Amino acid sequence: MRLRLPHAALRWGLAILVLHALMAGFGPLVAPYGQAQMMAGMPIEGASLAHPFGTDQMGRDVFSRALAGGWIVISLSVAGTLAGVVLGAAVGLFAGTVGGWADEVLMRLSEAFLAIPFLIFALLIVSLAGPGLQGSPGLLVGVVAAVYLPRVARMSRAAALEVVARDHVLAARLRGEGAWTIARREVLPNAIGVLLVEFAVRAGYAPILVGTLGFLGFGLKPPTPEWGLMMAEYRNLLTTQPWAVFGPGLMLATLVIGLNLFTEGLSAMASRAGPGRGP
Amino acid sequence: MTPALEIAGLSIAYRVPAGWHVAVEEVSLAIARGEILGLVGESGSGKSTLGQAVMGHVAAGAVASGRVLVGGTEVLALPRAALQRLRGAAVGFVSQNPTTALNPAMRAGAQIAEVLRRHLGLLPDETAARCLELARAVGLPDPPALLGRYPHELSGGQQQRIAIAMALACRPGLIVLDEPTTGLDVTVQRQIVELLARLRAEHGVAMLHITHDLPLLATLADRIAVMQRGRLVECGPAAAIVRHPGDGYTKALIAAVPDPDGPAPAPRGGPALLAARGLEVVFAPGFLRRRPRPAVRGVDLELGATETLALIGESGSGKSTTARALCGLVARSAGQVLYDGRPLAPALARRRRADLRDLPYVFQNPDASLNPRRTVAEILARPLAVFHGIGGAEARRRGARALAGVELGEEHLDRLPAELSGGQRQRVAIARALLAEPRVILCDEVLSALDVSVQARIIELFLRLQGERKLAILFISHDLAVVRRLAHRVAVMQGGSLVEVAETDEIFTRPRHPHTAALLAAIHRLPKTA
Repeated sequence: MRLRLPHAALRWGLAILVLHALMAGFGPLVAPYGQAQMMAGMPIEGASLAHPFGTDQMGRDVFSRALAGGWIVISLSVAGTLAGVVLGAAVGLFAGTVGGWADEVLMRLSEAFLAIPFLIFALLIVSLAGPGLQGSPGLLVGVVAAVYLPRVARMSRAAALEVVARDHVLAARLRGEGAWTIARREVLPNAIGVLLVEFAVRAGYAPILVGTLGFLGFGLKPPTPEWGLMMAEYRNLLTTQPWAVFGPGLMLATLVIGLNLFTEGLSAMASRAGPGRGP
Repeated sequence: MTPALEIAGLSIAYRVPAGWHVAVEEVSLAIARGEILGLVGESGSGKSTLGQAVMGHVAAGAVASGRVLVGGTEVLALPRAALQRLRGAAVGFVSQNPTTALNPAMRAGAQIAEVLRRHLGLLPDETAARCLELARAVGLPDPPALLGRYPHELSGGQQQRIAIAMALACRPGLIVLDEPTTGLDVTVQRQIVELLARLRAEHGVAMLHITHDLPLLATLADRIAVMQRGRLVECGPAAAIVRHPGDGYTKALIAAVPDPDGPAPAPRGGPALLAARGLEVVFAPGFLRRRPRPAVRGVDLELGATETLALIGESGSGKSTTARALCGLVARSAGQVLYDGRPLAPALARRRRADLRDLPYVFQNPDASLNPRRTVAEILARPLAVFHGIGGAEARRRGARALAGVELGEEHLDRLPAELSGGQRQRVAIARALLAEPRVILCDEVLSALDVSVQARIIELFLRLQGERKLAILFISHDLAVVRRLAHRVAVMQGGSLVEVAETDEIFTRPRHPHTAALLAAIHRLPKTA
């Protein structure tokens, strides 16, 4: 079958994402300066052809640093989202399939977590993790996953409830299969479309969460060139060398816009195509 | 005088990935004023596409050529606005499912009134009077009360009567009916057919009646047209078509129709393998309903080890619930289920695996009972893995053998359910049930979605299986002709209770309960070939 990408949002989103992927993958290799190279130019230089985003207080090239940060932001976001969606889907599909008190407990628990604003919830986890773990990429992945887990769980439970009423699930129950087997074999393949869209939607907001935590000082530690952290580091340069803040901000904004355009196009296409054969 | 409908050289083709699919090919036919033409054919024969073309509707992406004249007006070339004036006014349409055809948020009377207002511009008091007149014409009891109800407050038969009243509202010269009685109970079906015959006699309206039910057309239609793969293979007076079919396909179609007066299998004795004693099922009461009414109460049933017991009755009589309580899909609230002399637990989770293996359930709708994301091989492998611990190549080999048993080739193993026809899917579902090597299978209306030719093959399959191995079958059906061919004994249910159980011939020739007699009276019969 011919691959067609008819939706404009999808095409634009994909173009931006490809650009970002290329920058994250090859940017550090072709960057004009090393990301940690001090005195690449004079300290606090404005934007120029030599330094598109100018330089910082130590004369590091902000553009080269921003290029180096791309793969960090993207890999943390994707890993965190993936963990959150996989765990959330496991909880939600199981709850929806098993029903009864286990479902009640799991769902009330996720609602309790959902009641906490997500940023406060994230900060809570970082503080609870203690100073030993703070600043580690693993913790950040865990935070993104933990924020998404209850949201994805609720959504996949709803998707599961629609599937478990079907006769092929009843047939599996009649064979005496357990809830976990049924969730995996009968429900998951029929909810996979919803889960993929969910993954794309969540991945679209994950860079903001990673960036926000970095900006607030709860994310990675300096001198990691993570975009949120860079914006925090350079915010006192805002009046003298605004490109040091705008540059990383632009990278973050375009990545998020690209992801969301892509997701929008994807769900528009999915709703038009209707339920079809799975991947 | 112009005929009510004239179709000349009509072809309709759809764009599909591999080119064009011709749904209707060079069909020509005419319906005289006041005539009922029955259009019969199996699923996929193009009969519904033809019916929609008469309404001037050709699906997006399809191309039509030829002419369709309704009362002398060419509908295929008609602009949108003129087509809307024509629909409802000059030609009415009644669809298979009145539940989805009627607007659930509008009262029945308002829906009929809307047709009158739009097409005839009647004043409110004229509209009201005409609505009552129409409701009486379609035989609705107590029209003023029923017209004030919403569709969900009406029975299926009453909903279909409302839909017919809407089609009739502007006194059209032609009504297109697409499987109008398929989803209805046999007794209601009978009433609707009588209504259609009366409306034709009283109003002189011509009808194009599309159905797969040949015996029904034999009683109702003046002429019958037979379609196969988009082509009109035969068209002629109903009696002549049924008695002396000229075309080979028509002959096969008629031969596949089960005979409600044929011989029933000889009764088999023997001790009961599966039995219900005082079975009762009560569903949890709704939010506003105080007293739950039992869906099934006081049912005593016995099924012999090599016997087929048919369970018949109208929809809502508790047939499916009884079967589901037997296999544990719904928990009974009282009574006992005995299997091999041992009581079975009400809940599925408390039953032994061997008991689950012995009592599989085959669902009515194979579209829902097969996981759409698994191949046939994977679907067939499940009972083998769960009950017999067989996997891998051995499971595949047994799957292929099971498919051969239901007359499907090995090449179907790697297909998804969506790539099979409805009949093939149901055969896969039956093969899956049999792979567990059960002693009883519970079949819930397994033939109702299938074409008669497929139906006939599955009936033969069941008879053969029962001859080959010890197998008891609980066969839920509303099709009494099939029941007579297949069942040793028949149990009749009404309102959740069992009203009569007897040997098949006994039920058909000497029904004791009035409800059994009413069900039998509703059977349509093909006239006997001379």
